[in-house]
Amino acid sequence: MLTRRRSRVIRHRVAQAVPTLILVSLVSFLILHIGPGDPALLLAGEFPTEESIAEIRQLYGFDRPIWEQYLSWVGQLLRGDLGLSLQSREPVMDLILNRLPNTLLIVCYAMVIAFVVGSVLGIAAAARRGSLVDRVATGVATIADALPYFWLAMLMVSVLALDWQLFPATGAVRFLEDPLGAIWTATLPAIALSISGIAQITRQLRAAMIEVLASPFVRTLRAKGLSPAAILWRHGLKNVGVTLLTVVGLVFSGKIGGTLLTETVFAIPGTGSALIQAAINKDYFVVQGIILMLAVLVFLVNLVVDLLYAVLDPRVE
Amino acid sequence: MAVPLLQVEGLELALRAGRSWLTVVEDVSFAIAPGEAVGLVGESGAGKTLTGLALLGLLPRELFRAAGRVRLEGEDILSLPERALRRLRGRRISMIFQEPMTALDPVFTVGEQIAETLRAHTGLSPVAAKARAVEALAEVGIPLPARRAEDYPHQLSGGMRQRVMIAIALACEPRLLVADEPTTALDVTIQAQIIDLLLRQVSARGTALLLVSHNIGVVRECCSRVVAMYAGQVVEDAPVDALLERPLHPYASGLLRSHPRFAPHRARLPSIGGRAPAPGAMPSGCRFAPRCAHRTTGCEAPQPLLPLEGRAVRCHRAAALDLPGAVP
Repeated sequence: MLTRRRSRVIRHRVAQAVPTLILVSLVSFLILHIGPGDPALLLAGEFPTEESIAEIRQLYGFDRPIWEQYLSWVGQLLRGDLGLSLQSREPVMDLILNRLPNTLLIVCYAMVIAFVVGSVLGIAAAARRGSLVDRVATGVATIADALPYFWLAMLMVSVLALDWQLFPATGAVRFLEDPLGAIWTATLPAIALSISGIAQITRQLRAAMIEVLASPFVRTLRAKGLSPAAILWRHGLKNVGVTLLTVVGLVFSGKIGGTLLTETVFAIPGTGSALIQAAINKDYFVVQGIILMLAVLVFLVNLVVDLLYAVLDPRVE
Repeated sequence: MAVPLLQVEGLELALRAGRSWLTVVEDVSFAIAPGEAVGLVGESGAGKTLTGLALLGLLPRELFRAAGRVRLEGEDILSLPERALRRLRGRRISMIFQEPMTALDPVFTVGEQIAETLRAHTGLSPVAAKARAVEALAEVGIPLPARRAEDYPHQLSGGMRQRVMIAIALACEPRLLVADEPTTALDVTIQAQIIDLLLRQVSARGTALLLVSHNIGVVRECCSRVVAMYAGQVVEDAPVDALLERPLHPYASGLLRSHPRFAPHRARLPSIGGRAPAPGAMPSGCRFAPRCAHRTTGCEAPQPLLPLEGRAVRCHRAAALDLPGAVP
């Protein structure tokens, strides 16, 4: 599978990642400085005095040139130090590591749902174009796209959790302590989060598969005596692989941001709900740390997608 | 002729046009003997490609309606269910197409695409099919076949891809190969090589060939018999040499004389005036009459394909006319 050409492509992509990472860190760092107001004033609390502001300037190094501040911040970053929460004095890194598993669980769970349901609907719709299956799948995709997922989340909590008591309404179970319980608890949030992903994957995959099935080479495959099943699942699927990968990557990135509302509605102690809390409390370093973490996650997803392109498509150079 | 391998009788193809059907191919009849090479010629839109596709049952049933008979070794292809057609395609009757650039799946290696055909029709193991695929590439003259088998179509030139298409089509030793303009999309320098290869491969296997082409020159080199189509109908069916020397149908004569190779040296090429009628707007009588220089009374009546001098021709004046053929 991994030829020399492909491993060269992979090395190239990884090397390209370095400037992206530097940019990500720069933007996260600059959030404090490009936001409205003086950061020292922001940190000084409700009734700042001249002295307390000057003290904060010195404490956080705001009196130094900005590039010096950035470099020392990056230095801290490389040692895993994201600063302390202004609210709880807890290290931001500990706070993130504590909450990240809950977030990753619902994001990955939602991706699995979106991938499986979206692929099946999209391929079935393309294979039987214009049939009842196609109309149902297209209808589901349109409705799913139009539904606000936080509204769907609240509806599910109200009916499935509170009225019928099928699922817990809120909270999270730590995955490492009780994997099955954690997955059970994460089911409703994951479904709510997956809805727009199902819509996107269904629609994109349907369109891509219809295009592939109309390609001239499909006539060759039929002339060879292949069955429609072999044409669809062997040739069709491999040809839409790149589209599928692209849309899954996009949906994945979107879901990482989508956890903010989902976690809030379901009261899940994840990084998304922590970000919203921190923003309300003006807990500056927590906001900065979580945004950096989310950016790195999105970046990693994109990197993996790029690497998989080289594996999936022989034409990638 | 001995027992024909393929016998087409009164083939009629209609294309769905909204609620009605538009007849695009009508009353097409010809036969191919085992191992025979037959050319199917005519200008674009004459229905050559549709006829070729119909022989494999490849026209989508929701878009096309077929009537008449297409018998391959006595079995009527038009009435076979899709499942039986699949067992037939690629094994007893194969087809190659005009565009080698788009006729292969871009994300499978060429070796996989040959092996897949073998595995669909024979009980070969994956390893045996792969080994056979490499042999098939060697047979169509591809250098370093073991390495080329691992290549993807985009890594090969147009000529190489058409060789791969030939290898796929002949992998299961079919009885008949339909080649639809196999060299039209290729460089002139490659065309002769591919035609030569095609001929050697089919004659080595005793495979019959239906060469669909608008190029009568290529057909003369390859085929012993030629079927000329005009506006969805067969207008003349004759041995190549007889047709070249003395065509019986005015359209066949015009087609020959408009080919640069057969025209008088340095003379202006004679072209056929006017244009072919569109499906749905066919003349009720002879379809070529509006463009025919020999038109006379009687041409308004529909013309049947009639035997004459051991050929078949669709012209009531055929015996009376003395038409010019190819200038030697």
